[in-house]
Amino acid sequence: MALIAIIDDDPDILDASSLVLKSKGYDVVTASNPTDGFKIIEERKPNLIILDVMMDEPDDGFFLAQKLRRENIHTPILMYTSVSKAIGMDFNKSEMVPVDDFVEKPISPEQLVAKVETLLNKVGEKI
Amino acid sequence: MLSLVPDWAHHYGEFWRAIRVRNLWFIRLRYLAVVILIAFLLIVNYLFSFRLSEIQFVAILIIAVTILFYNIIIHVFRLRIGCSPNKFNCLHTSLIMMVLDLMELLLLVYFTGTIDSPLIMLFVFHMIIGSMILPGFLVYTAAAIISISLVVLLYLEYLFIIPSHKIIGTIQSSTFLSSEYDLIYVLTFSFTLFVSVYITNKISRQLFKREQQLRDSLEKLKEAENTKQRYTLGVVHEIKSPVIAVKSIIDLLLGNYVGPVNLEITNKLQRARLRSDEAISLINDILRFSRIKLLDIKNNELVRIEELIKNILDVRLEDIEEKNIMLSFSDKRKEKCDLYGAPMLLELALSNLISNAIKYSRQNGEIFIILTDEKELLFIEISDNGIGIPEPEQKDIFLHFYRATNVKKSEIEGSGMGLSITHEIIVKHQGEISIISPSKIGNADSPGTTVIIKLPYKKAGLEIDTVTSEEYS
Repeated sequence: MALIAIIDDDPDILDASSLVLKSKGYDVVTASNPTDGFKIIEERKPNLIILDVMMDEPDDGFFLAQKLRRENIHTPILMYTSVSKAIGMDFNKSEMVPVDDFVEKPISPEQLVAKVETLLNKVGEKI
Repeated sequence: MLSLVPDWAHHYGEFWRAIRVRNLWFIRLRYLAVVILIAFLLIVNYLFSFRLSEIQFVAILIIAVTILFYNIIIHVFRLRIGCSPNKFNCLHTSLIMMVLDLMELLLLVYFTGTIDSPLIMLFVFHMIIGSMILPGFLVYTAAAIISISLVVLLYLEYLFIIPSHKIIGTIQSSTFLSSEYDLIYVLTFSFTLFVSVYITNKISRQLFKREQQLRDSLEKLKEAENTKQRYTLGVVHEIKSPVIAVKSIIDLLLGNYVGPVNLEITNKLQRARLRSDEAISLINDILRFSRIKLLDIKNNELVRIEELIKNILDVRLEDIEEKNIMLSFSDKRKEKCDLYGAPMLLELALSNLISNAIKYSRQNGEIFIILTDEKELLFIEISDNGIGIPEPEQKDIFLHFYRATNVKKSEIEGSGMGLSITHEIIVKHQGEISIISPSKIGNADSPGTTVIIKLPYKKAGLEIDTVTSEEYS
């Protein structure tokens, strides 16, 4: 079964997301800051990364995503944002932010599972 | 290039606009002067007891024609002259106009009797106007040149090097007065000139300074407002995280991810989820509002308003059909100019209004959306025949968290932020929004609401290079 890395500084979000994903049979590793996150990604080579955009600093998630891509790690990234859409600041999948999908917090368990499945399927197709 | 521009005005559109408007005003005034001069020449022999000599007549005629000639040239080329501080700009036009006018006036004064000329007072008028526009050193120089020219002219006339052109029939006695009298006259006149320049210059500089202080204060206020909004953003963001965590935990429990939950607890948890959803939507609204406040709409994009509205209606189609609302959208624009702005924000604003119209409509209600335009203004009118807004409350409707009393009584959810966000977006686009209730299609039972948005069709690059027709007057 696919391994999913979740990196978020909110312990409850980490807990909730892992519970939901584990219940669907996924293996989950978690980290609560970008440094540990990078470490677990390098060591465990997950199939999917769920990354919170804002950790200690507002752009931590972006920087980690960029760093991963620079290090030639092309694991799909689902980014959690708490930035509401509909405003000029909403994020699109752009060159600048090398992630595969965005999801605005809060996300319901069903939505989370659906997003994860879609992203994993995409990777499956590519291979 | 001689820089005539005060430092503070380099990027200050209002300054340039004022100069352009004044220049145009002077061009018009000059046409009037030409007309008056020629009219004077035509009627002088019939109306007044004094006579103009042939030389005077021809000289004044030539002066009038010359003024007309250069005025037409300036008038034609006026629009091609820009407002760039480092290039030839409209302030240089002002200077050229002033120099030409001074020369013509000097000639006019000479041919109508030098210091006996009634037109000599126009120098004072001229200097006052010059002081308002041009830098002090230039105007003082001009005043000095006028004074010296008058002295030189008088001196040359006394020495009979050049003929004097007193108007025959006026101030006969002056020819018999002593040269000391003329000297005192010129001195007094020069003194008046310099004092006028000094006072006008000082007052306009004070005004400019005051204006700058005002602009600085405005800038500070804006900065303070931005700090406040950033603070709000930060705080509300911090509040959002725990609320989201709570909601995630409730979702876990309700999804039986932790273990089975009995019906009673499920009911309570559902209530808790509803309340946290409310909190999140309110938080999102506040975040949105603060973000819009902080947003600087600089990158103006072309907005296709009719497409934008159609998109919103498509998204809302389900709600419209659910209430069986009769919807009509008509585009009655005639000018159809390009509208520039932030499409995403305008979509949010209009989507707020349209969803309000749907939300507060009754079953089988009606919604009319009409686009019209007039004189570079686009009007968007959204009318419904829903519950309407009580009259005394209409003025408060754009305030934060304000919800009309009849809405509060209804079961309809809302944070009261929607209209303040919409208002802010329209204001950011230099537009206006107003609300009429009862609406145009309402009746006694369902008064309904009409929202009218007025947005200026902005032409690209308007800023400082064009003066609108209203500013001409």
